[in-house]
Amino acid sequence: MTAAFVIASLFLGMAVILVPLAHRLNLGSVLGYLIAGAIVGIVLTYVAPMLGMETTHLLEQLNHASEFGVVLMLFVIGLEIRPSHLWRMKSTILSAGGLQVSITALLIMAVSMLVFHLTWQVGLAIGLTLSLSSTAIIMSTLKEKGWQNTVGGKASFAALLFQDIAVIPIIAVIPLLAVSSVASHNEIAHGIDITAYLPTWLKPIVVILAIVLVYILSRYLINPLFDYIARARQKEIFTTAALGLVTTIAAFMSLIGLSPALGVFIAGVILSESEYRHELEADIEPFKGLLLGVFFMTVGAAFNFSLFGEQFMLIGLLTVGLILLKASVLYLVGKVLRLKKIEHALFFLALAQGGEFAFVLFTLAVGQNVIDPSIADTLRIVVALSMAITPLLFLLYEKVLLKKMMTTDSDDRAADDIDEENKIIVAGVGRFGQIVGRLLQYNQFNVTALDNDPNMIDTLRKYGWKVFFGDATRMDLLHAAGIDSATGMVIAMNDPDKVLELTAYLIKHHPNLTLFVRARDRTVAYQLHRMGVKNIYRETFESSATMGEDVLKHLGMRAYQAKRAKLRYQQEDEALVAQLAESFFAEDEKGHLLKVQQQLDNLAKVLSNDQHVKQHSMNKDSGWDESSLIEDLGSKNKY
Amino acid sequence: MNKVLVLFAHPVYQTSLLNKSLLAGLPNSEHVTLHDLYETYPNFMINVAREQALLESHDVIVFQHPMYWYSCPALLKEWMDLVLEHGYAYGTGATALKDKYFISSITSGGDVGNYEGEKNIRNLLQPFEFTANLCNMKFLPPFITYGGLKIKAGNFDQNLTTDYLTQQVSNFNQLIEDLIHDRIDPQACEQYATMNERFDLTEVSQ
Repeated sequence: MTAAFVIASLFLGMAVILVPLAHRLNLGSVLGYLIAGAIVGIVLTYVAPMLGMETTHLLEQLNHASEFGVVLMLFVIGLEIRPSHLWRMKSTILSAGGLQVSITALLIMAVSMLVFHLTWQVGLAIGLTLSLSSTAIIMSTLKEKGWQNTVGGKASFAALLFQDIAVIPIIAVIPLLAVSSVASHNEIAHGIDITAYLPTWLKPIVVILAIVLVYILSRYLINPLFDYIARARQKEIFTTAALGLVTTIAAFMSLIGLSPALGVFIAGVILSESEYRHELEADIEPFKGLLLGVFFMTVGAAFNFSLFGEQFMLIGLLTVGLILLKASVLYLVGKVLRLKKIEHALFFLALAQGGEFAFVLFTLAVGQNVIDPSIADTLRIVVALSMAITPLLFLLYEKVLLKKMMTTDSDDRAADDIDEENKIIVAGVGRFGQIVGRLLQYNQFNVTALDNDPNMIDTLRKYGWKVFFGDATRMDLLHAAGIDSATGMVIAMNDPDKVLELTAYLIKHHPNLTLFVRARDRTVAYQLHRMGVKNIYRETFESSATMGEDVLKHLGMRAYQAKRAKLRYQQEDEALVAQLAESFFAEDEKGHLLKVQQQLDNLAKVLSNDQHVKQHSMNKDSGWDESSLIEDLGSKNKY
Repeated sequence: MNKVLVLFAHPVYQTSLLNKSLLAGLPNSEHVTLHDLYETYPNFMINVAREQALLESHDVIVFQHPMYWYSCPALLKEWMDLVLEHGYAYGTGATALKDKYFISSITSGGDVGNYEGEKNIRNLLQPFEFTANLCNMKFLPPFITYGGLKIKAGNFDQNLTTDYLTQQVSNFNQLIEDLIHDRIDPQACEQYATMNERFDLTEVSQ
């Protein structure tokens, strides 16, 4: 028991230190786990003998346990697939992913056979494995930089989606590539195979029946079962059921000699359209994360560092070669997809590394005696290095290529207004700021725009906008955009936190600048109010009030009466925002109210105010109220 | 046959008994177009081209509105400011409105007594008369309906009888019919201060 605690603490402790660090450096958590594992591996060579264990044996056992993490990962991938959603993207996924995976795999296979004189089976296994990129690193970087909705980001996502699905057939194909069936370490993958004694012709039928059974089970039995469990309102039983479902299917698949990963993947896909999808995903996610983490750490611990020393040149060349080869193939695929140059660069730089699946597949391939362990050891290090280089490639894209492409673009197009500083800067030209900018341009006022969506910038530039790429909260960018000579600034970014940050900065450092600030909702409006911002624009305030005006008209109110009703309501509400802004923060500072409770309280205040207003003005417009006139002029004979 | 355009402006039509009654009494004819300005332009964003096209397709222009501070409601003034452009309605070569009839149909909350002496209705409506003349239109004396407030209060007397409004509605209907059928002689109307006198005289002569 002591030994188990010591080893667990070593692994978990290293992970806790290194994974967040890797994340901070944009290296992705996978690399963090690998490095943590590598360090633990070195430490273990000294510690394990003291505990009376053998390092390799220990790692092997840990590895088996953590392979359950891989199974869970495939289940979650299945859950995320949603066939209906996939069907809509089929052409992009197929062209982006299909071409990339097949060409890369074939090229790597050719290199293995011609340069390294490996058999075609080994070449194909290596090619398929290395054709996959790192979903974890790419998706988190795209999200962080806000590029996931750009054309290049979407193309990358489509290719990754294809790769995630392609893992399943690759897992199925790799065992078939084994040359010697004699020594397959079958017990790792399945152990007992009840179909072993069946006649060969019956096996495919059993497999098909099994898949149909999994389908029927997932489709018709699981929903009622989860309904039953959900009604009991026992969170941990739901989690237990989710894990149990995965183990049951995995066990069943192993029993008939199929890959458990394949079985749970199919179950995941079927359940992806069920209403329990999110709940299942949330329940499995922590286990998946933890076990996968352990899996990557065991891979890291098994890194052969002496190998790295011996084959320093070879590993270096292979890493550079892999990245160059993958980038070239992606470059061609990007041409086929007709990506524009900025998007194209993002696409071929982002996906040019080996991925976390490579570790899974190498382990499988070695276990199935497809690849020689020494080759796998070398290639694991190559993949890990290529992943470590990825952030540098993103940096190259962001700081060099993007900047260069942006400036050459603006040189051709907007050479004349480069010196002329515009009076208005619009930060964020998405769905909100765009309208402000367009209205100004429409009236011959040029604006300087800041945004971090390269695609948007490209389009706006074509139409004569002066657009700077980047995060508007960056000081150097604000200066380049001419903040010192601007008189007004439109702050219309999507992210309320960025809006508040920029507003606070400008109030402090450019107090003479007139600010026009977008407020996502009431709460943001309160904050802006408190900061002393005069021009606050609540996002949906105008359009929803206009909708209300039209509904009043539909109910039979005269158009002008409805217009005034809307304007009066808005006036009241604006006054209320000013009034409530103070009390909102007074309560916040006490820390007594939860956020949600606060919002509800807030709504209650607004509603009670409405009631009060209604009582004293009812449906009247004081401008044309004639009741006193009738009293005065109508009944007495005055004047 | 003339086509009659009634340009109606009332910001709180929903409370106006006089205007509701008068408009309900408009002849139900394809020769009459009722154009409700406050309903069409609650944002005061008047579509000038559309308004000018409307003017051109009609022969008689009726301004139908309440008396607000001795003038018309704001949107009708805005309409005049924007639609009656120089070079279109007046000025060199401007003939768009030439020889069309212009007549005001005014409602008032007050009594005849409120519009006496210097404040007589023709004096007050001089800006409209000058406007019509500048546009080379044929100006007709206004048609006035008084007593909105008293009628609402139910305060009738010998000057404001209970059937006053019914009579006014029928006269207004007659007036529009006469305009459609071109039965009105502008020269002959010059003797009247208001178009109401024409009906008073016919009633007397009957």
